[in-house]
Amino acid sequence: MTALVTVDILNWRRRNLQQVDFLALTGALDVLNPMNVVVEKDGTICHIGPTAKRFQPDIGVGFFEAFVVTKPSDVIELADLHDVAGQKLVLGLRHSDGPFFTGIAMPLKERFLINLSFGFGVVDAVRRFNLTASDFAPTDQSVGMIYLTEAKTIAIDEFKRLSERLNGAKTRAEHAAQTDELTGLMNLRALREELIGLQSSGDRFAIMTLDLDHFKAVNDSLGHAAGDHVLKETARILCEETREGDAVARNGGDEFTLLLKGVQAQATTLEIAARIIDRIEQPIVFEHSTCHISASVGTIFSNDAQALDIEEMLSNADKALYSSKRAGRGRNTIYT
Amino acid sequence: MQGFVNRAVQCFVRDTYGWAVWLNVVRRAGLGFTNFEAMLVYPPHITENIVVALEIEFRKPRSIILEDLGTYLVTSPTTEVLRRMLRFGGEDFGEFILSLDELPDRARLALAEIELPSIQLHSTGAKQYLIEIGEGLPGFSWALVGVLRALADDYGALAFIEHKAGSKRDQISVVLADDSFSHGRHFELAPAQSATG
Repeated sequence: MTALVTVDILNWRRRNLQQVDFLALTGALDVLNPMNVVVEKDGTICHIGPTAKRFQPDIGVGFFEAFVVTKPSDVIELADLHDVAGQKLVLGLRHSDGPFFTGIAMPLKERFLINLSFGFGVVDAVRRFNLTASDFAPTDQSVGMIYLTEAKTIAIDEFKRLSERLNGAKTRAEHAAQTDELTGLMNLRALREELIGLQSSGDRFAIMTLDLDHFKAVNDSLGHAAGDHVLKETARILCEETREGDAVARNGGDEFTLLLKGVQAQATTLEIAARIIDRIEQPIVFEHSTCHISASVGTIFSNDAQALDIEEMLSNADKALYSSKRAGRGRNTIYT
Repeated sequence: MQGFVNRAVQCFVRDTYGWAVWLNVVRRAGLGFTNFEAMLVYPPHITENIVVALEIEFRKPRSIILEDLGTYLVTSPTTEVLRRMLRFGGEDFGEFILSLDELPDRARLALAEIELPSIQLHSTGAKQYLIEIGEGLPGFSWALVGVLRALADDYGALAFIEHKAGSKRDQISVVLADDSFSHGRHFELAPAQSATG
């Protein structure tokens, strides 16, 4: 009787000590890695760390009922865990899409200790399971990884916004560099670029240089505001009398250049010049005054140019223009 | 680095006092432009010119202006991302203070160009600390006082934070009276919406 009681007490004490050992073990495990899982020799989960409980709350279920080992793919039951002890495992939840875990399993007496961590999907996992920094051991770099992800996203967004702003400024600067501010026409520099493009394409074209007659008189008698108005009106007429693909530039002052693409007949340019001069000679009303001006024009054809140098063509067009001036203004001269 | 500092000062003046006041400051500092880019590099004397202009504009010493700047950085919606980055430093204010000497490294990890002065942390008693600031960014310790006071509120902690000038290096004393004095502001590691944008 006494002996039996003694054995019972010994058994009880042994079980109790085992229980104390187990509690000490899992207590330490939960601090070292809150994403631990302990599996009994019969394959059931007997302990789950506090963070792992967020996605696998139940103990008593079979480990392979709750988890799937995807790498290596041949780990399907407890016995297989022995073969991959200490190796890197990739695991998922059997009844849920994601998250994926990196894991490592080690046998301890008859049980298995399994450590899990979120891999690169840590940000999604933290969001999904509403985790905080205290859900991770201080040695776990997961929180650092989330910090870095967020910091880098902010930095890259800021760089994107900066390059958008700089790109906008560049576009505006380019536009400003190519445009005559008063009339909105292209400037001579933009026209030269257009000419270079035309030359390399080999298409024929005509250049028409135009200088206003009596413009100085308008400026002197009615002021710069009247002069500016006349320049804007001239720009409008030039745009209306040319086609969409042609180019109209203000060279500066009261001089303009037209680039007529595909035009090679003298008759066509004579007609265009006559229409332009006719319209410019119509009285232009500014406030309570009327301005009377005219225009002298010089024309050159691309196929007439012996040397296809752009500067020479522009200068020859100028020569034709001054012939018009000398011949009494209000006319067009074709350079030959 | 200077881009961040100048941009922060610009946002602080613009959000707190308005764009017109910022334009005054820009004129006083003789900038010649009105907008700083955080990611661009500026010569250090520009920052000094702006601080001098702020002192004249507000008729306050730089210590007060920079402390206000520090408070602004933690509390303003404009700079919410910065508050978030700081809150990664600890679960509560006590933990944050203990990780304060890691701040320059954490900032550099986020962006290599950010070079904060070194920070040394000395324990001077139970929940009492002395923070020593290294050289490299004049006035940083004053801004840090503002940041720490605002962050204590943000965490819901009660702390006494004082700037100690006079010694060779700038120092800040922190006495943490109560780590959970009030609820503070919520912080999620990974917010559901892209509040990070």
